[in-house]
Amino acid sequence: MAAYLFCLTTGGGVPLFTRSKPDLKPLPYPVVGSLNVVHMFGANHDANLVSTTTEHTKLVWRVYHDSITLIVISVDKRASDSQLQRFLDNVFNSMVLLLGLDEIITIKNVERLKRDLRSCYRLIDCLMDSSEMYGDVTGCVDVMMCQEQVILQDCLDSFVNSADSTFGCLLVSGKVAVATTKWWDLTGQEMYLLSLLARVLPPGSSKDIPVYLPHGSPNVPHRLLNFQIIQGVEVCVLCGPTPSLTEVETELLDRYWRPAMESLRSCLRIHLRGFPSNISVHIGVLGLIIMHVELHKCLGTVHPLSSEESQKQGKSLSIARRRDILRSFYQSVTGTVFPPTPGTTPPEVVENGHGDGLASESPVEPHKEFVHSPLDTYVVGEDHKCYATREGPYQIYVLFSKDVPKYALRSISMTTLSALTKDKLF
Amino acid sequence: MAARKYPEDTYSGPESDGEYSGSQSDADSLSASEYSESDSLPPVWADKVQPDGSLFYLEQYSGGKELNGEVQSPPNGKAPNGHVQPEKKETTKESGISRIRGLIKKRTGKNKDSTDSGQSEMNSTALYEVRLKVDPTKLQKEATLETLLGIVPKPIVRNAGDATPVNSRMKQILLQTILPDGPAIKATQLRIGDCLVAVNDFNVNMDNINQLLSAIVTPMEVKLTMEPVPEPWEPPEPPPAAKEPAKPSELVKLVSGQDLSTYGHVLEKIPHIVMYLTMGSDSNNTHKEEEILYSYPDGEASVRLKKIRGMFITIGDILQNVTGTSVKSSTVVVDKQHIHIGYWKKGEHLLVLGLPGDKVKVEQLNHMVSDVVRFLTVIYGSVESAFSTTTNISQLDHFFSLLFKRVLLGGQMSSSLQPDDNSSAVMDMIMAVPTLHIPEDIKTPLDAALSELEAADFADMSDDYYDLRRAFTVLGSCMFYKGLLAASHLPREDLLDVFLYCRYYCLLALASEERVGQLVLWKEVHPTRRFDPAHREADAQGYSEPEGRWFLLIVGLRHWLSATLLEAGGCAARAEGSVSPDPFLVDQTKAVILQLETQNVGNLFEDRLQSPSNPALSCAEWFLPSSREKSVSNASSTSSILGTPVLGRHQSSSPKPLRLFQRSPQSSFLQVPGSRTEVDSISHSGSEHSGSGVPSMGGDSPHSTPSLGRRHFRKQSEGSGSGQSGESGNSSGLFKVKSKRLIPDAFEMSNINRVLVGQDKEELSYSTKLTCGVDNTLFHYLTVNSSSGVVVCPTQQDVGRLGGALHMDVIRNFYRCCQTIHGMFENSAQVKELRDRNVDGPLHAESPLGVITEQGVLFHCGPANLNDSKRGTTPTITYWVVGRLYMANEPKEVFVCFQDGTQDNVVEMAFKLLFGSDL
Repeated sequence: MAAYLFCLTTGGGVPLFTRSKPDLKPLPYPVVGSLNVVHMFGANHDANLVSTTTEHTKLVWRVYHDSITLIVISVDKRASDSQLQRFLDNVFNSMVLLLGLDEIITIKNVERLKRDLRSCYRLIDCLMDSSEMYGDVTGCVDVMMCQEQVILQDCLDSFVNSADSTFGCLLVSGKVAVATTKWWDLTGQEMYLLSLLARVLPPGSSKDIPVYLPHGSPNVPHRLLNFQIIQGVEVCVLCGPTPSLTEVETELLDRYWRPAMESLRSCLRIHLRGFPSNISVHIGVLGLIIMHVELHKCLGTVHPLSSEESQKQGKSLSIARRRDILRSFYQSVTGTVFPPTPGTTPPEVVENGHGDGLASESPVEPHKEFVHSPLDTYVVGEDHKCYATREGPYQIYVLFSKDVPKYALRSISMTTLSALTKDKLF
Repeated sequence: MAARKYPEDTYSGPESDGEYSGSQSDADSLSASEYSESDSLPPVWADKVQPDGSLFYLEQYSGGKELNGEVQSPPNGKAPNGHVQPEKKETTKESGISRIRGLIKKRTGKNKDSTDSGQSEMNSTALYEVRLKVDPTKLQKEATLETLLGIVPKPIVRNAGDATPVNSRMKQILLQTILPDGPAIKATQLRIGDCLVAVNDFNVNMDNINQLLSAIVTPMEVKLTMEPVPEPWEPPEPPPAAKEPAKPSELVKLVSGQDLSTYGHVLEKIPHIVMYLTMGSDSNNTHKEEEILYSYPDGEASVRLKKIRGMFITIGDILQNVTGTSVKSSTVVVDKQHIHIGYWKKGEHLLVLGLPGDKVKVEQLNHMVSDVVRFLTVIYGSVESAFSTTTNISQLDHFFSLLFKRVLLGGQMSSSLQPDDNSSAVMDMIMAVPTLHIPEDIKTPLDAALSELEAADFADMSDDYYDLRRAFTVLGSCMFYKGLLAASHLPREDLLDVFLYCRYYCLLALASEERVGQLVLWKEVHPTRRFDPAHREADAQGYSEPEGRWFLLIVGLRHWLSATLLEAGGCAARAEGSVSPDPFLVDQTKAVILQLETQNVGNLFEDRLQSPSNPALSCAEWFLPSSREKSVSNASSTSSILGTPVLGRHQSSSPKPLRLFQRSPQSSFLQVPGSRTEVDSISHSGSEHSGSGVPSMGGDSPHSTPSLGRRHFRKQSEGSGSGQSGESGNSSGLFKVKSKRLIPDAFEMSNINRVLVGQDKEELSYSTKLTCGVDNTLFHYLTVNSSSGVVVCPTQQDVGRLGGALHMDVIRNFYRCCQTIHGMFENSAQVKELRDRNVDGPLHAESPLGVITEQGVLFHCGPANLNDSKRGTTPTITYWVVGRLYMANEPKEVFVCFQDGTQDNVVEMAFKLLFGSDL
């Protein structure tokens, strides 16, 4: 989606970093500079340039706290302003996550900031790359369901408690399997960025890094302790100065998690599918995203079938294409047909503008509501069909093979939704 | 500039008794009428012609009054107050037509003397005389105005309880209708609304006329002395507003470019702007505004946008470098208000159009920009030349002020300017002409009339006759009725050019909202088909379109708007200098409209607009459980009175049961559901004449009776004179309207049988509604045929008839949703196009969704007042809005709105039927 990302200081227009898709040649500085100047010129005349569309691309400008300007060039011209703004929010908040808000908005030494920001590159590159996760588009954290949830929840709760914290989660290949109640109180974006961070950290059995919660505590760092229990399964704890990493690793980790090892293994087995094998979906389903809007969690999978079933299904869309379609379908539906997901862009990001720079910038164009509330929608493409429906806090986006007849889309989607939600696992 | 006589009989009525063979001398003898201008005067618009030959003349319709509402102002000229420039008129090229004027005058003068059945004019007084041949021996009944002369008088209207005696004024015989098969139709001089003063010099009134007429027993010629109404062609139903002094309505003022200061302060606050900027100038000194070649308007909010033009220029400049593609649009927040900016860039120049985000969507704005560019290209040859000379400024100001007022004020100013914010938003996004879906049998006379005009074969009136090269070739023409396309003989691109012109000058809104007294518009144009290189390539190999000049002639009368595209050069004479409108062509075009009016086509269109739409639609309210019972009870009450002529009235109150039967596109306008037809024809067969038409009407339109009466009479003629319909070619063909549908002469029982049987069959075979089941579940539809450039959807009247606040919401929602879905389809089309062209670049990525061919959205709602309370228990309605894109060689888009729960195969059928209909 995003092809170029530019980060500049708002005051001086000094470029802080530029990220681009690997196959693109970097843009010369004068061009980047003029992109920034255009925005500055407008701002000086009380006209805030939000976005510009060309025939194939779209650009979005955004200023954070009067100090950082982010510019993104997307190759999807149909991307809405709000989607790209969410992307920029994610980028900015990953910077906050690692450096802290103060560090970024009160720039004392540009060169130092540039150097510091390098630590964010991995996170940002991951954001630019459409990953296996869907949290960047949904604004929720990717989760998975497993049957052993109760056991694992117990383990996690006691493990986190003994580490003198209330914030902790268990990640299975980057997706949250279980998390403490407090963890769920974090914003969707924070949860997403934290699990993304856990993914991009260099491999190792245990890590201890300071993080600033972009919404919870942007200026006071916490420690994120991250332990790999088995390959692909990690546990994260957010805690204060104590206990030390080694303390937790040597004393607690083994004690609490060894009993649950079997459960973890079985959890890992289904991580691609994302939900337990006893929940079956229709054979025509190629992928799905299910969301809980209020809890800010989503479950996305493009392997909804067991291996035998998928063999029976025969050849169909490639995994990467399924992912792309699902993401794209989600984006084409949310904000246009469905109302934008509430709470995914926390209001304080917009409102707490230090100075008038941010306050004057309303983030999203007012959504023109339909007179009546849209419940379902579907699209029929050349090689696929997609169906989306909402019910209560849930939304489900299903990708079907093109062989599934249109009249079946709705009932299959409904059945799938109720199958996934009935056990309260999600 | 003497207006010539012309052989109007080319278009005139049926020659039921074969008296007029259409020979040359008869043609001339009948042609001695001039409906609007007296013989010796130049056309009223003659002195409004601009030095460059263009003309904009608008005369407001002022029912019954003297032409005091006349408004002229040339948006096409630099003289904004309609200054007459007579001395320059001489410089205009004299067309071949005008050279032969003297000849014609002589000829017609000669013919007038030898006339046997024509009319002579009494120029000294207002009265005029008409001679008619009447033959009372052919009548099967008493001789009356209707039967003998073919004139339906206006009935004496008296209020109940009005004690005043009928005075002589009230006894006047006013022509309300001229029957198409009577002798009077041939007297082209007769105008509806005129007063019959005397017959054979006997003064007549309502009391003595029939007595007098019944005294005529042998075929003879009668002389009718008529007193004309001051205003030409008083229509059958004078509008209620006619009594007020006709002052130019706001729409008229708007269209003719007068200042509407009332809205100035509103517009002042709304940020909107159009600028034509150049990037070439040295922009260091921004105060001098050198880079602004044109800008409009100068309101407070607009000036703020003007100040940031540097931003637009830079964006236009650098984004080309960055992305390799040209810039389309931007979004800017000024004072917490979103403003969308659309760009069009060519070379050094940049056209910028800015509109507030709460009025237009970005996608809509993009379309508007390309519309504006196309419009400017059509009118001025190129965008650059439009802005390059200062002479165009007042025209451009007018054009853009219309654009802004339409978009920003829309409904506030005039209901039809922007009839429905939502549908018009969709229409802005669809490059297609709203079309009225009309049955073949109405289309035929219309097409025939247009063809005749296009043929430009005016016998001895044409240049060819005198071996002169004709001045113009007619490339094609199209006809709008109330702003809806009724017939088009133009290629798609030309049609769209014309449509853009009419739309952006609000002419369509004008014609649909109020009657136009007279509108004559003449403009040199640069059709996209000829000038746009993209379209030129499409020329067949070895053939190239002739070089020449093209002119657009738009003539409006009442609700009709006729647009004709003319070519000078090619096989017509080359045009040099400024070319002013040819009065002869203007008259001919007017004649077409008048002819259609005479043939009642206008009323038939009106009936079509008033009659239930086809395909049948349902109102959303009917599907609410509470109102369902009501409608069922309505249904039963309807069936109990099924045999009575009042039935028609019930149609509006309980439309559902009636609409279950679907009329075919081929069936009559007035044909209303199933059993009704039968009832109708039975009542006809009972030899009851006067009231028989009533049941088939919508019930509330005042002109229904006369129009039906006329139809009825035509039917009679059809029954008796069907044998000769073939020989008289076009003109009688015009009247061969739907022989199958017509109810024959009451005395011919065999015909009745045939018709009844025929109708039954037809009814059976076509009585499918689009959805099946007990209820018709189709709420609304919209079909876009981009290859022919037309869009069809139920008319405002259709929607209005169904009524219901909830239904309105459904429709609003439907259009809003269409906008979204259409955006999706547009993207699909682009994806497809790029795929075909194998476009690939680092900054181009195809949307993963690929080509989307169908999208549907399910909506849910309850009645507004119940919406907030207990959700689960309140009656609710769920409905689908589904759009489908057909990407065959003729791309089509179909949008339907139907109730949820409709079977899938039924929906399929809805698509098929819409698809298959002759749109």
